[in-house]
Amino acid sequence: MLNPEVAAFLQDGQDIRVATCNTRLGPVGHRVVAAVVDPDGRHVTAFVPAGSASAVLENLQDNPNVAMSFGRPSDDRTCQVKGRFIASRPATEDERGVIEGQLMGLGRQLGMLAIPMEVFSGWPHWPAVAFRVEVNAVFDQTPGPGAGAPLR
Amino acid sequence: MSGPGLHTLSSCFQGVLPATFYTASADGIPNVAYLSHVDYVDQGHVALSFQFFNKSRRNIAENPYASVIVIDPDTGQAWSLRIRYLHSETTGPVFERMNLRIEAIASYSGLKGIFKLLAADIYEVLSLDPAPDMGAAPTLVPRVATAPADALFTMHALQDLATRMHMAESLDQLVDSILAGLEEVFGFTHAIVALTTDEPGVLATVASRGYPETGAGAEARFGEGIIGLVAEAQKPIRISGLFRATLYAHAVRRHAQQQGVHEFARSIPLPGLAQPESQLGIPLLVRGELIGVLCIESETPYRFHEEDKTSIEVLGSYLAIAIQNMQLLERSDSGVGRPTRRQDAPLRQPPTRRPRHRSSRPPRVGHGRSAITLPTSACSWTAST
Repeated sequence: MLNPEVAAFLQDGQDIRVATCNTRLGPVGHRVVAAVVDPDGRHVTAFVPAGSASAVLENLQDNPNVAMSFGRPSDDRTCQVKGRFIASRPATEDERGVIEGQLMGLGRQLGMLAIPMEVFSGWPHWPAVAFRVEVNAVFDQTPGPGAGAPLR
Repeated sequence: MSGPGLHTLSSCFQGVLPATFYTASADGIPNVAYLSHVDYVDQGHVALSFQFFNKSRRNIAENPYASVIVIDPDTGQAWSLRIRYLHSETTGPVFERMNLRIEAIASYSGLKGIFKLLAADIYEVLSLDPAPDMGAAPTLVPRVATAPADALFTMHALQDLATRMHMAESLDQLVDSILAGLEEVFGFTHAIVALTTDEPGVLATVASRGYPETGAGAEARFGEGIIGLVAEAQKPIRISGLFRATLYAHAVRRHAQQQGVHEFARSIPLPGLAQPESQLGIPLLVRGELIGVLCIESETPYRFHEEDKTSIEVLGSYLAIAIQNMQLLERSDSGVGRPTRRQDAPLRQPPTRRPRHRSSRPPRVGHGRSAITLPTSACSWTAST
């Protein structure tokens, strides 16, 4: 489903957001601090800070549909992954290194835009909860007239 | 609506850090997208830029409930707005304000006609809450906490600049002292004053401050770049996070090329700094007549806050009258006599002096990355009176 190039992009330290939907069809957004793609390219594990994980989980238990946007600040390349929630669990200590590595990558991107990291010092990343998602579709969401085209 | 007032979040609506927009289809499939602009309308409403037909737009047609997350670049605090779509506007002050900002960015990127605003979508704000996982940086202080001190400072600053206007004895001295005052009082180190010329649709720079060369005489055409757009619309334009905004526009350009679009408008170089991050352009108007544009810029991504814009607009209204009075005086001194009201047209001619910067090579509007060389004729005019 996710080709190797797209999978590498998703794990390269992007600005990641997740959208879920509550029972009243109200869409809700949260920040994702890192993502890992399974080798088969069919599953993504998204790490959400523990402080907002319960709200994400509450929605996903009612409606398992999920959308995740991966944006690279330096050139606005953006991909959107859509799928279904499978399960959640607390992130492990081993995964903390992955999270912090991806956040460092994002920090470098933001630094290129002259945005000081101090601005984001109030954004928690640990502890985190891992959400496993089965991928249904992936789209090129880079802004422009062709945004929304499926990626293969 | 719950939470603090929307008016306290003006910093969030400058596009320095991108907003994200969350929608859902009627069958409950969510979607997330970046937005180029979210604008404050009033205490209960925001406007979202509609630039491309996309999934978000289709979802809103099915399900008007959405949410948007905006980030305060001063503090890092993100805010989640639960919103409901009401209607779209293609005319009116909200549309025009958003459109001018987008047009300025498009003109710098050669994307006029492609990177454009199709509509300003108006949403009712149902609730406003701090995003729990995107809190304020503990070391950064919200600007609202300093508001009373800012108001007093602004009054004193405007008083200082008004005194400079009263003391000026020539047009040169007037514009130079105001540009110096903008630096000394407000800390705005880079500024340009361009005035209308006898050539319709063309402004010429009469003074600048903070640049290696004065650029006096350099031209800006109506509708091109921030100076030309401010002149054409006769409305102020404020752009923050310009580098990020132009990157976004370039992403659109690349995508358009991939879609088979290969003809783009001419890219209009930025007016002064090689890498400006913030720009504020104010029309200089007297009784509805444009006499020029005051443009200030900075390499800081979010330099001009709402109160700065208001202060500079007030300054601009006084400066416009002062410039026009000085032009009248200088014409009178040169023997032309006092123009009657019927003779208003000559006031739109260039100032009665030669540009001060006269070197052996043509002046440049910009430097470094965005520098352009203007034709020699751009700086060789002398106003006939």
